[in-house]
Amino acid sequence: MTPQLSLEEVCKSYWRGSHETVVLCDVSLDVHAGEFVAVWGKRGAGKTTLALVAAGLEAPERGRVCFEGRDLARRPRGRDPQLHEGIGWVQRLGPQSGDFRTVNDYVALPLLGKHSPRQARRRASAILKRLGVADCAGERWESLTDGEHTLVALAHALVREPRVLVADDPTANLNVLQREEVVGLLRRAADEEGLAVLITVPDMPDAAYANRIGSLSDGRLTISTEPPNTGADVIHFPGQQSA
Amino acid sequence: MSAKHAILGLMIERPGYGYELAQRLQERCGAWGWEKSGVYSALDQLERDGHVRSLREKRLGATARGAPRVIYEATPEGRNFFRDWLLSPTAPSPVRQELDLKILLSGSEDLPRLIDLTWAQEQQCIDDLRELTRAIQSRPLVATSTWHEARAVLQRDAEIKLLQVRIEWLQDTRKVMKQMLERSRERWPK
Repeated sequence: MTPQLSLEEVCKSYWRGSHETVVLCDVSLDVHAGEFVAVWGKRGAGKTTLALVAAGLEAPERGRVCFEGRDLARRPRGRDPQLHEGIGWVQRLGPQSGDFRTVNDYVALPLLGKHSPRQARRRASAILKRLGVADCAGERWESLTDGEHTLVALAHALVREPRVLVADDPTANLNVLQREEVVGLLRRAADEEGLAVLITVPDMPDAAYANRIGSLSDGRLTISTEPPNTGADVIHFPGQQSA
Repeated sequence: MSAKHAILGLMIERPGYGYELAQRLQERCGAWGWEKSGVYSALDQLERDGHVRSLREKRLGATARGAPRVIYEATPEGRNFFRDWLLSPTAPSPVRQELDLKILLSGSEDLPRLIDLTWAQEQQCIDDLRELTRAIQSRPLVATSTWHEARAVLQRDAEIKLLQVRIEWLQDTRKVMKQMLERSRERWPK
């Protein structure tokens, strides 16, 4: 089965003056539909670079990043926007400009090309409600708590119904209850909607609901060795019908 | 640490017979790695100390051979003993790893192999972590979760954190080893 997202021997390094820092070294990783993969690493281990490369927002120096079997480098965003729309990126920093009056407008933004403003706003409020942050719809981003920021950022990424979701440190600065809510949502999105989810986490307990767990250090990814999700470890949440 | 406090605590929640207590111990405290056989010796000791008593109860079922099952329940002394243990201060347990001893007794010529061993142990930790999260299938906490649900999540987090600390140490150790190896190669180029 072709993985939804595939990194093949990806390498990436940064230069500081004459010093080269290798951030990713021959990193290979597959994420299948319905699978939730979490990668942990210490600060500076290269988690953000891994997430950016996996989401197609940065190009690797060597190796390939494929979405549904198609090499993202051969289909850049400008030439094939539809392909890239299938990858949801959780932008935890929120709006990059101050043009948005409300959270609802911000979440509706990715839909404006395809839907009327009214439809886009309606869909945005539906996803905010689904993620339990309907109360934030009329607020401004700056007035939200850290937990709300994360959930709104998730709504912004999910509103376009991507097939892959990539999030860099979505659990950063959250308390245990908020973290449980966020990772529980991601796990449900993988289980119930078949979304392929890749997140990086600052703390290993944040990875507890993932199908596979990886550790990033010295540019190398060490990943748990079992095969992709066989359904054996699907968590059935309260109120969810067992298969 | 013996399993007796855990078994006594489970018995205070609900009396039970040996096999059933062993199953509950595995479900609740599987991460401690106690053998099921240890349950019976712990029950014997608890009974000798007067913390539990056994009852032969025919109505609650019988073994395959028709003998009455032995049901164990905590005595009032056992309940007090358990409460005293539960509420007393606890010293952290030191962790001794074989790899640490190898590093302590190694020479600089062993560094390349030791670096490989840190990678191997990191892979093992990641696999253990995955097994742990698979074994302890707690549900995500929500505001309405009970303390029973919350304590399972907190226990899982404690186990994961131990592995995280180990992995962080392995990564730091590997970094130092690599630096030392590079320095020795600069000093003694081939």
